Amino acid sequence: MSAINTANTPKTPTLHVPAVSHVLDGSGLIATKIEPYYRTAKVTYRIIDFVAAITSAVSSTFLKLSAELRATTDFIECTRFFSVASELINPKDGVYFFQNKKNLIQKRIEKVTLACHSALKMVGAGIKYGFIDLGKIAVYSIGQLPVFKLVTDGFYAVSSFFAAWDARIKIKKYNSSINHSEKQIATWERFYEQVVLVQLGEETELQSLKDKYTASIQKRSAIVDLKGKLLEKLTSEHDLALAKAKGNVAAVPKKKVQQITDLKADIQKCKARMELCKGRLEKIDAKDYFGLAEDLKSHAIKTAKSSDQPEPLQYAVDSKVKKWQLIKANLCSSWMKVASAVCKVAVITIALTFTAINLWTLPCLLTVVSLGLLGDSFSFVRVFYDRYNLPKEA
Amino acid sequence: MSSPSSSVQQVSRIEKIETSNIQGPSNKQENADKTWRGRSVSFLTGAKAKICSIPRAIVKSLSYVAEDICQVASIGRKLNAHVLDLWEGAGKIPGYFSKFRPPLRTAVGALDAIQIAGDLDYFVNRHGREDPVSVRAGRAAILVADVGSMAMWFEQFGFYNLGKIASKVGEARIFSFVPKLTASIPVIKNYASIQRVAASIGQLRVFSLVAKLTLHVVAVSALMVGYAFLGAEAIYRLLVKAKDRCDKIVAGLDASHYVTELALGTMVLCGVTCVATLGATAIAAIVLGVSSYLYKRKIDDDKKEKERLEKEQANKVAEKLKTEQQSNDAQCLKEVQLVEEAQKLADQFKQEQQLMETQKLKEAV
Repeated sequence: MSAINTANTPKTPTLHVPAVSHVLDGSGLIATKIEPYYRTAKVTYRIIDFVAAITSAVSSTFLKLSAELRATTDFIECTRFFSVASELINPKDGVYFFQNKKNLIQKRIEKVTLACHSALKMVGAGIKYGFIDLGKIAVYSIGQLPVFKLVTDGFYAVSSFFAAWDARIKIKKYNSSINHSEKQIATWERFYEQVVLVQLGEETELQSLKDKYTASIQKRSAIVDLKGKLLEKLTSEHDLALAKAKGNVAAVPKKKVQQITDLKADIQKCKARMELCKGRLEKIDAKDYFGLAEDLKSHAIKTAKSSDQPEPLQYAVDSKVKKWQLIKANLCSSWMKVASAVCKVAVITIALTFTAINLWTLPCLLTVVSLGLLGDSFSFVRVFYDRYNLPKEA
Repeated sequence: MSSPSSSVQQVSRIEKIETSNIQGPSNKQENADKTWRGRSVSFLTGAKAKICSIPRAIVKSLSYVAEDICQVASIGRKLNAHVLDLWEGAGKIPGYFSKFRPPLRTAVGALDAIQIAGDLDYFVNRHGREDPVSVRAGRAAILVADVGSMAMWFEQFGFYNLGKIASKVGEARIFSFVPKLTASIPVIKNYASIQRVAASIGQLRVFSLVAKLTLHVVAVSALMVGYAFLGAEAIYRLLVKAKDRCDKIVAGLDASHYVTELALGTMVLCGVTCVATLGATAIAAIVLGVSSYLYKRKIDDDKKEKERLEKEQANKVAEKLKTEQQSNDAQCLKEVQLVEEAQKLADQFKQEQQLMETQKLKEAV
C-alpha cells in the first residue's frame, strides 16, 4: 500500500504506553467474559502439562495449578450449552439462525453438533457428580473407551470438522474479495496519481490520456454506427408490424418499441461519453490542466459517492483501504479457525483411538498434548485478534 | 425496394427517434430478502408465539448469566458457602452434593482470582472517568478484596505462605534506627529520658495488626466497604437521579442487591451461625443480583433492537422515497412517450403509405 493511505486512524491510548493499555484491556476482557477466560485457562494448563510431559522438573505447585485450571475449564464447558442454545433459538438482528442465508449448511451442522456436545458434557458432569445415573448405558465401552465419552468427543470432532469446512469456504470468498479490493485500491491510487500529474501538466500522462480518449471516441463512434444500423433495422421491422396490424398501435407488441427506446438510450450514452472525451481532449489542447483535473475528480467523486466528505478523493481511497484491511482481518481469523479446528480433530481422533486400544506411550502423549496446545493457542489468539481487528458486534 | 424519398424520410425518422427522450421501464427489484426477514420475525403469532418465547427467554437469560464471570463467581460462591449449607441443615440435601462442592469451590476460586485484572483495567485505562466518586471508591475497595482473593488463591498452590509473610511483616520495626540515631548525636545521647523514649519508639511494631488479621477478614471487609459505597450510590440514584421507570427499576434492583450483600457480609463477619438466615439472605442476594444484571442486559438489548429497527425503517423509507421519486418522474413520462412514439411511428407510416399510393397513381396516370 502506498504512502497516501491514511486509513485506520489509531485510537488515542489512555496511557502513554499503548501496549500496556491494550494488555490491561485484554486482561479486563479475560476477567469479565467466560470465553476468553476459558481459552486462557486452557492454554495455561496445557503449557504446564506439555512441560511436565517433556521434563519431570515441573514442581508440584504448578501441577496443582494445572489441575485446578482443568477443573475450572470442565466446569465452564458445562455452562457453554446455554450460549450455544441461545444462539440457535433466539433471533439475532431480527433473523433466526437457521433462516439467515449467510449461515451455510456447514455452519448450521457445526452449531448443532456443538450444542449436542455441550449438552452431553453437562450430562457427563451430572454423571460424575452423581446427579444423573444412566445405568447400563454408561457402562458400555469399546476397549478401554466408554461409549459415552466416544459420543461426546465425537460430536466435538464433527463440530470442529464442519467449523474448518465453513471457515475454508469463507477463506475462498475472502481471497476473491481481497483480490478485487486490491485491484480497486490500485485503480484508485493510480487515479489519484493521475489527477496530480495532470494538474502538474506532466507530458507522458497527458499523452496517454489523449491516446485513451482518442481511442475511446473511435470505438464509440463505431458502436454508434453499428447501433444506428440496428435501430434502422428494428424501425423497419416495427413499420412492417404496424402495416400488418393496419395502423393499430395497440396491436403491435410493445417489446419492439421497448427495444427501439433501449437502443436509443444506448446510443445517447455512447454519444454523451464521446462528448465527454472530446471536451477533455479540447482541454488538453487548450492546456487547461486544472480544469481537466477538476473534471476527472468530480466524475470520480460522483462514482465513489463521497461528495459529502471534506476530502472526497482521499476518503474514497481510505474507505477502499479500510475495506481491504477488514477483509484481511477476516481472512486471518478464518485461517486461525481452520488451524484450531484441524488440531482439535486430530487430538480427539488420536486420543480416542489410543484410549480405546490402551496404548498410551510417551510419544502419543506428547503428540496429543502438543497438538492440543497448538489448537488452543490458535483459539486463544483468535479471541483477541477478533476483538482488536474486527468490528464489534451490535 | 424503397424509393430515395422514403429512405430520406426513414433517416429523418431515425433522427427523430434518437432525439426523443424515451426511457425504458426500470427492472423490478426482487425483495425476497425483505419478505423473508419480515416472515422470520413474525412467523409465529398470538399465544403460540408467547408460549414459545418463554423457553427462549429462559435460555437467553441463562446464557447471559453463564457468559459473565462476575455473575457465575458470585452465584457459585453463595451457593457453596450458604445455600447448600441451608439445604444440608434442612436435612434434605442428597448425598451426591458433597461430590459437587469441591469442584464448585475450585471453579469459584479460579474465577474470583482473575477479577483483579478487570479492576486494574477499570482504573488504569480510566473506564470509570465519568462514574461518580462513590462508584470509584466502591470499585477501589473491591480491588483490595480482589487482591486478597488472588493472594489466597495462589497461596493454596504453595507459591508462598501468607501466614509467614504476615508474621514477618508484623514483627518489622521500621523505627529501629531512631535509638541508634539518638545515641550517636553528642548532646542528646547524655539525656537518659530521651534515650528511653527513642528506645520505646524503636521497639514499635507498626504493622502488628497485619499479623493478627487474616487476609480473608480483610478481603471480606473490603468487599463490604465496596458494597456500602455502591449501595449508597444506588440509593442516591433511586431517590434523586432516576427520571423514568427503567432507571428507577435499575436503581432499585441495584440498591436491594448491594444492601442484601452488605447484610450477608456483615452477618458472616459478625459470626452469625444461623444457617437458615444466611441461606435465605444468600438466595435473596443471588436473585436480586441476577435480576439486576438481566434487567440491564434487557434494557441494552431493547435499545439496540430499537436502534436497528429505526435504522432499517429509515433506510426503507429513504429507499422507498427515492424509488417513488424516480418512478414518479419517469413512469408517466415513459408510458405517455411510449404511446406517443408508437403513434408517431404509425402516423409517419400512414403518411408514407399515402405518398407511395399517390406516387403510384401518378405513375399510372
